[in-house]
Amino acid sequence: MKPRHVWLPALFRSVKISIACVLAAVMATGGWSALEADDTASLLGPMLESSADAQPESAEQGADDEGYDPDSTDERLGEPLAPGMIELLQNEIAAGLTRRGIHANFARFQSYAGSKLNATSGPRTGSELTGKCRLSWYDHLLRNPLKAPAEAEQFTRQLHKAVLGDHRGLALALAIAAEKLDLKRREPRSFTSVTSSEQALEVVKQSLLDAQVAYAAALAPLDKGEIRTLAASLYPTFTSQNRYGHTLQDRGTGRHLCDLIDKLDRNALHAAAEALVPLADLELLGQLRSLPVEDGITVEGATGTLVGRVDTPGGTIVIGGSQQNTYQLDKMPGVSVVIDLGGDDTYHEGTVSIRRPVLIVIDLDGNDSYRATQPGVQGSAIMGVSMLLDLAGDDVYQAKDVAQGSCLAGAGILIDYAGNDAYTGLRRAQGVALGGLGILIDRAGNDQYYAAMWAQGVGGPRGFGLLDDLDGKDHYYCGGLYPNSYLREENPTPGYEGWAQGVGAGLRQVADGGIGVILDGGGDDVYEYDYLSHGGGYWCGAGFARDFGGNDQRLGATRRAYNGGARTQPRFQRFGCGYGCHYSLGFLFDDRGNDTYNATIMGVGFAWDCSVGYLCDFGGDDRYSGNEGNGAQAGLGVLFDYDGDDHYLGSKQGRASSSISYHDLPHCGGNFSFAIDYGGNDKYGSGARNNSYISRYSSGGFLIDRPKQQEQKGSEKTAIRTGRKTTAGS
Amino acid sequence: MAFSIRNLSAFILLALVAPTAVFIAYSAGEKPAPENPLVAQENSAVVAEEPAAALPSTNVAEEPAASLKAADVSKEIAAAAPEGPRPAPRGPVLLPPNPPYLNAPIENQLPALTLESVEDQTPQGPQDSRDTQADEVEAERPAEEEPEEDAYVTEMGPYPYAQPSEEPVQDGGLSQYGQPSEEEPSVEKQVAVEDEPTGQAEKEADEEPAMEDGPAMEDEPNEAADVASQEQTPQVTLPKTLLLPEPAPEPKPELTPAQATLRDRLRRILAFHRAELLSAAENTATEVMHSCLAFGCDTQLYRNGSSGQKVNGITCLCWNYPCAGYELLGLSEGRVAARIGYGLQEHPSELLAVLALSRVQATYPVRVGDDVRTVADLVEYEKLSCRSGGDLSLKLIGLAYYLDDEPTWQDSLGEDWSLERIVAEELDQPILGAACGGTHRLMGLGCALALREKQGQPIEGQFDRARKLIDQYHDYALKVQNPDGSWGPGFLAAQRPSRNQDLLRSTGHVLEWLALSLPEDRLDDPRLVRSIDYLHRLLGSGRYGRNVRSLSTREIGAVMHALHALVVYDERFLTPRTPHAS
Repeated sequence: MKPRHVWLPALFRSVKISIACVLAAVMATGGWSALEADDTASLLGPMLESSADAQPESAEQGADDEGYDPDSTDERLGEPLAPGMIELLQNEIAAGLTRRGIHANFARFQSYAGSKLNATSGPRTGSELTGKCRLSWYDHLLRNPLKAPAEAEQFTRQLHKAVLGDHRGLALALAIAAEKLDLKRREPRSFTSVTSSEQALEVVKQSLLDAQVAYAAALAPLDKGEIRTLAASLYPTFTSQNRYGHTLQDRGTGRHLCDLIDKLDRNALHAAAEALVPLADLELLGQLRSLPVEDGITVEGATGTLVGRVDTPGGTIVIGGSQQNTYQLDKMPGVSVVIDLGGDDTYHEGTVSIRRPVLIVIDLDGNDSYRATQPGVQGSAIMGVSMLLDLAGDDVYQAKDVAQGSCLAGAGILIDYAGNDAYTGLRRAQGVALGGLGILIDRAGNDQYYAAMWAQGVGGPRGFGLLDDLDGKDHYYCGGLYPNSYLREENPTPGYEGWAQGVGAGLRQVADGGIGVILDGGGDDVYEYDYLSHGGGYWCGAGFARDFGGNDQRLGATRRAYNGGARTQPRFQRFGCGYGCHYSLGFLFDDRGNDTYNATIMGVGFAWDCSVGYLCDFGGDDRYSGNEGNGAQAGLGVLFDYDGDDHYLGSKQGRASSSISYHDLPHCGGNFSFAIDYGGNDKYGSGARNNSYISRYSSGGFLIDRPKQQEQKGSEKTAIRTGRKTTAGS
Repeated sequence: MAFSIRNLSAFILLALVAPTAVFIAYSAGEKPAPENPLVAQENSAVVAEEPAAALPSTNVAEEPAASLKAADVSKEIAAAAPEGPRPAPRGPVLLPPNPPYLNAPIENQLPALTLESVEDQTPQGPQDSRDTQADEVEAERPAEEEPEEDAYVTEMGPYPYAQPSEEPVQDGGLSQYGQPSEEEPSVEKQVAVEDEPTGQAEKEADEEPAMEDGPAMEDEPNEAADVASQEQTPQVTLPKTLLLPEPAPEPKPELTPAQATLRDRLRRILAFHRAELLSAAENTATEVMHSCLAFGCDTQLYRNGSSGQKVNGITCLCWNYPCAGYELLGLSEGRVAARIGYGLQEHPSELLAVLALSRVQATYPVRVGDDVRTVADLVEYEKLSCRSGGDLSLKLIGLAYYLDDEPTWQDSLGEDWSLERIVAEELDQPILGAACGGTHRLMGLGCALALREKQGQPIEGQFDRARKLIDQYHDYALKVQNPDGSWGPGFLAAQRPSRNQDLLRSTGHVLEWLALSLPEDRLDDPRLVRSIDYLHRLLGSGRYGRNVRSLSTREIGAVMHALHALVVYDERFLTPRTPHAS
């Protein structure tokens, strides 16, 4: 990595950056060296507007006010200059549009997207695009595509910052999720310090009680038939019947279920998850280790030494000893809490549904094994609320569907505090939510995540799915099992369904998408993913992927089949690495390290069909293979790389087609493509030169490569002139 | 909008400033606000009618000494609680001796319990009305005059407030109880579960068309409806105010023609909904509890499905019959506790509050498996489970009824509690934004005040704060009422129109609280009448006019709170002004 400018943080730390600071910084870095003074002045207007409109009252901004958060220069939070870099990007785009006189086209693009959103806001529109389950933040982002990356950067940073904190941070993360899910604004909570085991047990009881109360309130708006329908149909309709990710086998039932999810008291459902937050307090968990031990405790379904049983109005609490225990959780239906003091334990099943709507598992030590074949397990729930906390050990989580911090119409939270862990699921696993909240947090260790479809930070309709791995060299895999849906089309492309790793995806002809987020704090990570994966949005959804550190490899299509054998489909990946598809937004950020990005087609900062896709890399020598900043069918696709000697393997950097078949020109505004690189000695498969400003195919296509300040020495004026000449024809 | 915002702002300011101002005023010796005339009246009545010596003999007999401090007693009970036979509850009391009580027929179903210590009794299910009468009469007797258990049934004549005549299943006494089931032989002998007599369905069917007439019934009462109304009238026998016995009869001005019309319409809607039974097979415990809230001890349910056997609502809850497949009661900390969650209680202490508002005796049996105890045991659990910072509103309603001599007690963590502390804790919590728009909280505070006044104790300190807060909320609530008589979906938050489903819930809750707590001389406020009209319209509409049991839990709750509001209004305002009511 190249050295940083040490003075930039002071200028860019705040989003509300002053005009003088921006101007000075930009001029000093040479980032705008190709721009004239008039251009600069014209840029500042919209930039200031965006600063003023940057949602100062959002829950994310509460992170800085909580007092517990690490300092903003915390290495774990990635590139501290990222907000400023995003502003540079924003202004570069605005400047480009102005220079070429197509800002009106872009305004039409924005207006067109807004009009489509307006026209389809109702639940029945006569087309397959409706406003069913539409989230207002998604709506806001799509209407403001230039401001969107700044909000996305702030959102992912603050969310990660919250998760890095203790239980109060978890509360803040849930508050952020609530805001994004259009729920009521969450007031800051106060938590009492836990100083004894008795007090800790009281907190457990109270949390359980509160969760039960809130859960009951969540279901209160539904009548008996509706509750029965949800309970019976959620899993088959949204999961088990399906082999394709973009829609459902039974779309009619799916629409009805979405209506019922909307009818739930989702505020109360979220409150049920919030009720469990105090349990994530490490002080509390420490105190639980010294719970008093009783003899002769037996509970059906549990073997090994049990040292306590507490019957509460909210359910039974079972306390397992520090030796090895086995819990057949589905044979313990009256048990709502399991606290295991230690030992290498095995947990079987543990379904959370309306039959047992709240389940809390706290394992304080040991290398544990969680095994299940049923859905709604391992900190997951179908019409329920679940939390799994594992404090130590190298743990194995094996399940099939709706597992490992996932939910269907509920809330599921899994936090693994330490150890090298392995998570294996099939569908809707590892931080996936549809109609609620799904969170998987792994705080340490080198971990493996393995799934086939809809996995690793996916938000379906009315869902907020988050996978945040705070540290370690991690390996993410999703795909390799279900042949993709394009195989049935006229021009098929090979490969498997993926739908993973920070994807907000609606279900076509059913409902709009939610918010899907994958965050990784550090370590050299490997990502394998098949179709429509890694920081993407589909069908009115918004997806976010961010890796805060390490040299990361985004390999594109999975290398092996899901079962570990050879792929039966050729390696081919479609839609990946910061993409938006069908009225959606996708964002991929990488803060540090020398990284690779791969997508076979329609990826790496790509937007399709009134969508927005951003890929932003804030440092390091990186390697890109894919479309690399393309917008198509009225899309805005952006690839932005700050610093480093980068290699762009594809040939389509910043290319914008002048033709659009999905929408009417000129009403839709056109296509807008940006491949922007600041600093370094870069190579382009398209043949573009380093430090150049090029129009690609149409006036909406930009390839902009700028030098850093140091790189300008001796040739600054020449470079500027060259740049001007280059852009003159644009 | 401006009006609303202004009001809201004013209220927020008031809410912030008022408690402090009240405290300052009180501290400075400022003359307190004029006493609530109704409260004053009732207070004097209570003192006159129910001196301490008139408390049920059980408690008097079991207390170690009359001069023993309540705290000492609590400690003694706490020490004795963990082992051996359960001690007789110190706090709970039987029904006050002054009939009529709220929805008296529950007493018809009470078992023939002696008033000796509870643990010595053979568990009994609900019996017939004569047993209840015996209990009440017994409650008035000094302990030394307790007759033998068997004597109650034989000595006492028919209870004057027996089940209404249109409920023939209740008339047969012991001989009509259903045959014991195979599963629960010992229970079935004693529980008021009856086979629906032949012709009952037809009789109900005959009553329904009056409801289906809809607007005709509402606006132009026909003769048949009038007859039905007269038949239903005796069912509604509520106390004059929350938790207080009826004050000495006073001559009341007769109803105006408009008020008489309102009464008739109101009673018709009540009669109709009283006959619309929930089902224990289909409806959850919280829905059953809401039904009991509306109709008290009169509440009947279908035990299985939507016809056939019926069971009393209170019996169903206390005897732990599964409701929608869920058993409500369990054991916790050695006590009977009502479970919490979906299908169960949806708020902590919900059952206790419903039992208190239905005026169920503390000696009424509750069952968990084969373990049969009494409501007093549930009360003990609620005392043990007091926690600072929690939602104590419904607990306050319950404990204010069952702990009428204001003892202090300790929770399971060893913290000291009293009703005054609960009041203080509740006052520290917000009203707006609390459960059900804060109406539970206001009602709980009102219950504590009512108890305080009943005891003739000074309204000072936290109680004074509570009274002033309630007085302020009375005025505020009427200010934020929508022009059509409803309250917005935010309950007391602000004026706002909304869907009827939302407004039924908010309006029912707010009117319920107002009807229970407003001074009697304010009950003829036209804004209340508008609200009653509004509820009447909704409750008679198609959505709520039939098959209530299939609605959502929230809607059933909304319907039942609204009905309870009408019941209370009828009892407090209309019945005393109806000449034949007495």
